[in-house]
Amino acid sequence: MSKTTEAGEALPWSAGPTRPEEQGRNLPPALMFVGSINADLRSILAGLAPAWRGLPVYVGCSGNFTVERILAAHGLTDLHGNDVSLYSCALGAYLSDQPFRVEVQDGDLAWLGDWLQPGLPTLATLLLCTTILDFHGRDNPYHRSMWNAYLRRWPDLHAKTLTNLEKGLAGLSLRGFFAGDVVDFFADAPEESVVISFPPTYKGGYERLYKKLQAAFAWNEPAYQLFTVERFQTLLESMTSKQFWCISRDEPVPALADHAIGRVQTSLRSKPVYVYANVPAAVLTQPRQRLADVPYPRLSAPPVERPATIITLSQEQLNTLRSEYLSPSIVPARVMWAFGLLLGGRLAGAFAFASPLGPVAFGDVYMTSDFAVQSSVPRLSKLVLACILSTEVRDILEQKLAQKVRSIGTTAFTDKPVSMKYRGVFDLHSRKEGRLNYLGEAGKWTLEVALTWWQKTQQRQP
Amino acid sequence: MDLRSGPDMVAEDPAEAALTTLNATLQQMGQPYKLALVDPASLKELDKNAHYMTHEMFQNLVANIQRDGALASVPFCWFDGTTYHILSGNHRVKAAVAASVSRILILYDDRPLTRQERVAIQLSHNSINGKDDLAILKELWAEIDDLSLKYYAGLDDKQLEQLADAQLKSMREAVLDYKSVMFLFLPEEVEAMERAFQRAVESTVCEEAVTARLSEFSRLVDALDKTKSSFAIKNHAVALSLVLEVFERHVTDLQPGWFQDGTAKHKEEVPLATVFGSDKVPANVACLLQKACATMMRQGLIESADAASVLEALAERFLSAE
Repeated sequence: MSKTTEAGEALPWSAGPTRPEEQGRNLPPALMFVGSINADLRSILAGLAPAWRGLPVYVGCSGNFTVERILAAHGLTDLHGNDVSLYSCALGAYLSDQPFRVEVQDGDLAWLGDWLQPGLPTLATLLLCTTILDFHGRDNPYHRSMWNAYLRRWPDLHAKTLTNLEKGLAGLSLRGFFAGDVVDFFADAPEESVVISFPPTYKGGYERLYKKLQAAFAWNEPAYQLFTVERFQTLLESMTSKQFWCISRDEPVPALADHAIGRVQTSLRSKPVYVYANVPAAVLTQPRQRLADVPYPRLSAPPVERPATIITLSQEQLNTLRSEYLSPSIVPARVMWAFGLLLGGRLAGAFAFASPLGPVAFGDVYMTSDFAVQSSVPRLSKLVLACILSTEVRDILEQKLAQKVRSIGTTAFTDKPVSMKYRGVFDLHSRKEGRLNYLGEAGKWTLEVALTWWQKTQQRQP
Repeated sequence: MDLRSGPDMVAEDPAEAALTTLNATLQQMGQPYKLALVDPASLKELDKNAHYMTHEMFQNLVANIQRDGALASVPFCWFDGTTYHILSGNHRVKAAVAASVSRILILYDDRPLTRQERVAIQLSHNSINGKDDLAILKELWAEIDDLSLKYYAGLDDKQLEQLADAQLKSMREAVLDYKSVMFLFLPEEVEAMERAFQRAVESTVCEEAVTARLSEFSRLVDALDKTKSSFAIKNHAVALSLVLEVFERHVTDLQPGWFQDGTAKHKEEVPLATVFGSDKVPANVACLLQKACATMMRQGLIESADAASVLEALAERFLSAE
């Protein structure tokens, strides 16, 4: 067994067929400051902190100051922060006891000026604005309703946010804060120091995330360069010249392979985060599916008996069935609702739907998974599909969604021009490279009619 | 005999030749099983298997095989004279195929075995296994300081509760409070309705529950659907609020509920909005009403200044004057 491996090759995180609609990563504004440092990463930092005691610590891209808060909780006091965003700079200035200029520049939001008293009140206002500005100035009943609700509750929400900040920041202060480019920040750090960075994981990320906040407020914006591959290399060179360094990325950094000390992944569909440092450690976390028994006999052989019924499955039960009957190369995703098809009391197959809140490109609901159990009954998967289009399934979906369900969309991952499984039951909606999008008419028949159709048309075929 | 086929062909492969010799020796020693080097894709998988493996565990296995370049434990098969049937190690064989390993070593039994015997072997290999002592497992885990070897081990720090405590108080902004309202659409049959209601009440936490007949559900969904489409919105609560706005604009349409042929249909109280279209009046009109109330009280026309008494007195006076 070889000890030397390239980062990323040692753990070949699979990237099997995935549903495109589940790839979208919606980042709610509220998470913009905390999204990159999850609980597992925080644990790694907490584990490393004792090795850095007594040294000045320079944290690049402080964000919500999560790194600083963890280190402070573990007795590190000589902390220096850095960032370029409005909220983080205001927070950094507050924690390092520096003045901070911020004014409302959007006339429609002039009333916010009364809520910009220096210190925590300003921070509470800016933090609330990361959420509420998403509803501002949009001509839509939903956004108007949310905006009005926020305005009505503003004093109360501001007071609660201020309390949250007070509690969250208790015991934390900074020796210094630099509003500016992280590469410059590290260049100025002394040789005998700790430099830590969890840099943004995509180019231009700051610009997109902070657009509305930036438009609403005027402040002394620091100059900085966009994060590119070249800038990252410069950052790496600067950091690794210090006594201690720690850096995380959402992709392997081959140049640092010998210093890989952590790899965390919170879900099967999320990207793993790699942590590198010049202190000894090895922390690995991986997503593991929860499983549950599916206490139904399987329709592993004829006869196919009546009645056809739909049962609800838990996520755990679906995980079990997917592990049993689907290709292990398919990366499973969390689903919103899962169901099983029973024929004469025996389980014939299962199917599941994505959250209706996610981006759905086509169809009123998006089916993430459908499959038959391993069986000698020919074309059983076609019967499962026919039953998915039943009035019974449609009614269940309409009751869960409280909305009309006229069509069900799904995707077959194949390079072939047509999927034999879906052909004749679902209609081809669109073709994309390596995938075929299908659309089925929800409620086109009852379960009983679906079963009769399948027996007449599918069982007689050779 | 064609010298280019059969035993001569096998003998050309040194590994095959060595295995033939080894198998003969094993047989002489009374060992019932033999070894073979085979293409994993040529093995026949079980037609029914209770044992399954999650995606992540299978990927771990594939990665380990790729790293090793071979299976580190041998699958057990039954050879029927032409085909090797896997009795134990289905996932290892599948993973070997996924890892593009061209030949794997297997242990096999070529004696006649009944279906029952084969099933018993299959089940025994899955059911007879050891257990881990968690404390010792953690000690062993702590000996590994290489990330890739930790992955190879098939465990992780979270699973073994080895992560350092790093709890932080939330620094999130406060969010709007939401009040949950539940619409229960129940079957019309009394017994089924009671059962469904009981079940719903027991399983749901909500501040207010509204019941209706199940048959009304599709009408509500239809109304919400039309509203959402009209305003290009997705939010149920906003759609419901728009439906209610339409209702409020047409609230006088409720008059047939209490009014027919110039007389009241019942003696219960009805909303004034069904008469006036609204519950509100301009402030100056309210002032006039206030004055009228006081005057009527002084003159003894009414005993109390409630809406019913005041409006009744005003209406009767106006109608008698006509």
